[in-house]
Amino acid sequence: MNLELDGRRAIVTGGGTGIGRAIAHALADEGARVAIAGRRADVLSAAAADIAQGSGAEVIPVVADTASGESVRALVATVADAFGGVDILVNNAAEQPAQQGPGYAGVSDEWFRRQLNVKVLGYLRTAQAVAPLMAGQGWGRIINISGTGARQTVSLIGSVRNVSVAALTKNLADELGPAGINVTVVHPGATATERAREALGLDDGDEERTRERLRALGHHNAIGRVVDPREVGWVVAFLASPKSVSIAGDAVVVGGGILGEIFY
Amino acid sequence: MDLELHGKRAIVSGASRGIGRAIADELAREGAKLVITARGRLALEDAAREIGAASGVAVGAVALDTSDPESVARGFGEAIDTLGGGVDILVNCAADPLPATGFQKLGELTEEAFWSDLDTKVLGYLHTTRAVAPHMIAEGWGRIINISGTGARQTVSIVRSIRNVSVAAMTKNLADELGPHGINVTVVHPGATRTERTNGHEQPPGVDLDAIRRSHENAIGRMVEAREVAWVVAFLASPKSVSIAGDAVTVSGGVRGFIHY
Repeated sequence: MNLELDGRRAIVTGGGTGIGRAIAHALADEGARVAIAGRRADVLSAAAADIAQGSGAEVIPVVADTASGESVRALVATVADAFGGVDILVNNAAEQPAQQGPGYAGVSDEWFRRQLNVKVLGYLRTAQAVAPLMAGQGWGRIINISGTGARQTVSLIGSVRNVSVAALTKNLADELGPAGINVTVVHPGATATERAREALGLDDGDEERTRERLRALGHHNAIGRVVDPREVGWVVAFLASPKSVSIAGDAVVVGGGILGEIFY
Repeated sequence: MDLELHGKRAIVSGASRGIGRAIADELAREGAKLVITARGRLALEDAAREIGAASGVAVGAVALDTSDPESVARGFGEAIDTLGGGVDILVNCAADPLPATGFQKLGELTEEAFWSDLDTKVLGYLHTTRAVAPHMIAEGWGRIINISGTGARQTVSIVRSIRNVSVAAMTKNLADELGPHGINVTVVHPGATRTERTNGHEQPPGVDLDAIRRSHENAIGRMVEAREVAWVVAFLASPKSVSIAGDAVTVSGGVRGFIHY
């Protein structure tokens, strides 16, 4: 299927590592010009070079902090200048862990505000900055990466920030849809990023222990294994495409089918 | 993106017209080997010829009634033989046509209409799944995509809502059971979709299409085209969709107002 992404201009926040990096790679593989944004210049530069080499596409690193409105506006101005516009925004920048301690006692006001500032307001800031560019050309895609924590008790802050992203998404979709901009939310579950591989012990050779850890975290899924970041990237590339025009405001869950509960 | 559908063997039910037909067109375009099914033989054979001519792949046609388990057992046996003894992808799209049972009010709703709809769309999807699952399990790979509808989330008619949410419930149960065998089962909810039938020429008696369109007012500001639904289904039929299992993908263009979590 021709996703018609060749030459389209994309921003992926949190694009230097993990799921964001895999998404940037998937877009670049389809010929998109991709700006990856993040806070660490060295990580971004290395990732941009790797993705550019792997895909043959143009990939630029832009240092930015989505916790700051000023930094976000500078990011979008830089990319619009470099590429001549923005067609696709993938909001993926979030801090880990969502919560520092267990239970409600582990929630500090300060960390709660910080998490919502980065993942919820951060997504809103980037959307506010790119929407006029997209509306001006009558086409755009905004894909918000949230997480299955919206539907599961993993941590209090994790659930609050993720379901807030879903709420933000549908409001943006209804408002921006008439301008040709489809806004969607993607919920990954446990995903085999480098950080998760380490935390879940995916590489320590003890499959039973890994399964136990996943079960304890509520990430026991239908496909029977942890989803790979590339597999999330493919779904996001489809959502970034004109071919996804029928999907607007709704969620696509990419957790490999978390067992048990049914959502309608 | 290479959807890796070239040479995959697919069966699409309810494919002689509408959304099912568009899905069959798209899978054929991606190079899948295809058998389409529907009740009416003439329209089905015409559709198979047209899809084959447009895509350059051979398209088989088997007339069957998905509400009848014996008809499915026989017809799917024939379809699977046509595909060379196996099947990789099943798209369940056969439903009672819109004018027959779609929009009765409480006082008009008969038990016959209720069962006719559930026999076709709910039990029918189960009949076809029974026919293909053993083949997919044997190969350790498969995709089953169930076409339901936004009636699961909206009051259009009693039977529509029940049958559509039943398909979603069945989908998740099948996904949890078949997932370990490499089979991803998903449900797709179209809203009001522009097909040859809703294109304005034949307004079925007793159906107010304008009212339906108003209830489906969406974010993109226009009716979704059948082909736009088919693109999503083609993605879900692909190995590239492995992260999606048991959940719904709503392809209504974003029905306005309510937020689902």
